[in-house]
Amino acid sequence: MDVFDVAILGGGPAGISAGIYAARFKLNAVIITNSLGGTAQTAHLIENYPGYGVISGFELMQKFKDHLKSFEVPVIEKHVYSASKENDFFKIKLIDQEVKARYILIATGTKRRKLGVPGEAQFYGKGVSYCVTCDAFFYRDKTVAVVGGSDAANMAAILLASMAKKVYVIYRKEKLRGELVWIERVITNPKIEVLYNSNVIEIKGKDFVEGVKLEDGREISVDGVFVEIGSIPECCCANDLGIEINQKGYMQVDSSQKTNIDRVYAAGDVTSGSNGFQQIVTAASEGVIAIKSIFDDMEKSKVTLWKKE
Amino acid sequence: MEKRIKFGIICLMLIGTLLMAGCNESNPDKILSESDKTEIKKILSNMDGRVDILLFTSQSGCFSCSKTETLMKELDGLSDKVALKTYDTEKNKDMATKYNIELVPAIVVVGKEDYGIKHYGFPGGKEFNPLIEAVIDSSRSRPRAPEEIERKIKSITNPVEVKIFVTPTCPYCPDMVRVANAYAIVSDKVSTVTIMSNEFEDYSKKYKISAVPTTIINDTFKKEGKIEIEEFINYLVVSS
Ligand SMILES: Cc1cc2nc3c(=O)[nH]c(=O)nc-3n(C[C@H](O)[C@H](O)[C@H](O)COP(=O)(O)OP(=O)(O)OC[C@H]3O[C@@H](n4cnc5c(N)ncnc54)[C@H](O)[C@@H]3O)c2cc1C
Repeated sequence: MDVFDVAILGGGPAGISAGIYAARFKLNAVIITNSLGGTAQTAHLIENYPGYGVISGFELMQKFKDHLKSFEVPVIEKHVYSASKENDFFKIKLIDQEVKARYILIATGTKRRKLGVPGEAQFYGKGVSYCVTCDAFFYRDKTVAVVGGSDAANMAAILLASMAKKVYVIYRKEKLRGELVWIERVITNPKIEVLYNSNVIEIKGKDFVEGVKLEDGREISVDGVFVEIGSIPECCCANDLGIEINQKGYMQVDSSQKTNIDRVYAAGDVTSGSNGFQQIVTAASEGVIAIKSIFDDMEKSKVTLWKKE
Repeated sequence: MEKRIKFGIICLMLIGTLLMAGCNESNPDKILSESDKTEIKKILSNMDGRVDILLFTSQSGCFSCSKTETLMKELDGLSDKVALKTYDTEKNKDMATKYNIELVPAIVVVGKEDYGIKHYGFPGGKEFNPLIEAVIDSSRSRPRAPEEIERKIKSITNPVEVKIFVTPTCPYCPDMVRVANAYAIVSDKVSTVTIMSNEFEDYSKKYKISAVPTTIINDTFKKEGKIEIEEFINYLVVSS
């Protein structure tokens, strides 16, 4: 069975940055992740990651991966089903193997929040989408709605406006939130109409989406609905290990990224860290801080059990 | 670590270049940068045997044939083990019929055996990596899957064709293509066709595609979104 100093669960910005630093601290680390690159890959344009100006999320994450590759940190692209503590080790269960590690760093990010309204599940793939970079193309010259008012929603609206005939942004509050740069682009785009204080209560159609029903009774005809209402933490293994979860559902960490369980750390969007500001730059730095803390902890207890050969 | 096969989803961290399909109307005479070429050359050195890349093009009505031919020629030049064979579908009707070519450009990867891996459209954006991986996997003998999956594969008795509709900007699509191709490689009954939806609008409309990845098995079973490797085998068995 493979034995590692640290198993990094999740390979988004937090996990990859952690992998790079683990290699530099000469820790015997492994990254286990569904797909290397994480959520950031779905971002149409990243304009706030220092050093890159404007870059697509996919391209930026490719650069993260290339950087990681230069350190030869093993990556297992598989789902983590569970983790358990056995004496000095954690056992991490994958589909067809188990991985043993002395420390765990959970960087499993988030998954998309759903609206939870009638029609949403029925029309998934038939007009309802959660990935604008994947599906925007299908709505050329059509009318679409983006539900949400954060950066991701604003970004989605701008990308869609470059192809669609008309874009509605449907938001439950009276003001869009997020970076003012994106907000400005949305409200000045002639193809975009923002419907404030509006809640979608149903997605309607026959075979495909034909419209949305709002709480105030209005019905709007649209060909597609992009749901961009944020995310919920993917708290992998929290129950198995007894990790404390905060009121909002995130893994509670201290300033060293440690959870309440010894030798279990967490980083990135899955945590309560960085004042709740979920960004690539904050996820990356949390991953890095976690590795430094793990390294310090190991040094303290002087038990780096498996040095690289 | 188990050497069995690279069954799970292999992690080939390939080139960083974004070959944006369909966005570029022009037909550049060079697509890969020198550093891409160096990187791909290194990756292709993992090939065992020879792989033929059959490229089907047409003189008329083909949006990306010339661009795809340029890219495939560049790929051809990066390994002695890759051999590009180009066929005009009008002039080589027999070959087009043999490989059931419905759209152009079409790329068919034929290695040690014909594992049944086909790609329609310019393999740009995120779809370039799975294609290179398919070339490498096709250069090897048919591997064995983990026992439980092998048992299920044996119960596939009739041919199964898997269509995967993708776009070049979809981050989830390459994994879906990898999963499907992995089964094409382990099973002689399974074949895959990857379709760049952005290039083939009418074809995508025919299958009522409005999200990617969408997987269609034997033109009957349809599922949007990524299907996990362990779940996918069940759909193959049921559809066969
Ligand atoms: C549309 C959109 C636009 C955005 N734009 C920006 C932007 O412009 N700038 C910016 O800074 N941020 C942006 N973000 C936010 C940014 O993408 C996230 O903050 C960042 O990706 C968080 O990184 P992470 O490593 O914590 O998690 P993630 O990127 O979510 O990565 C987690 C990884 O863990 C894997 N995983 C989860 N559970 C398991 C499991 N059980 N087993 C194995 N693997 C698992 C996932 O598959 C994933 O690969 C955007 C987000 C979205 C959705």
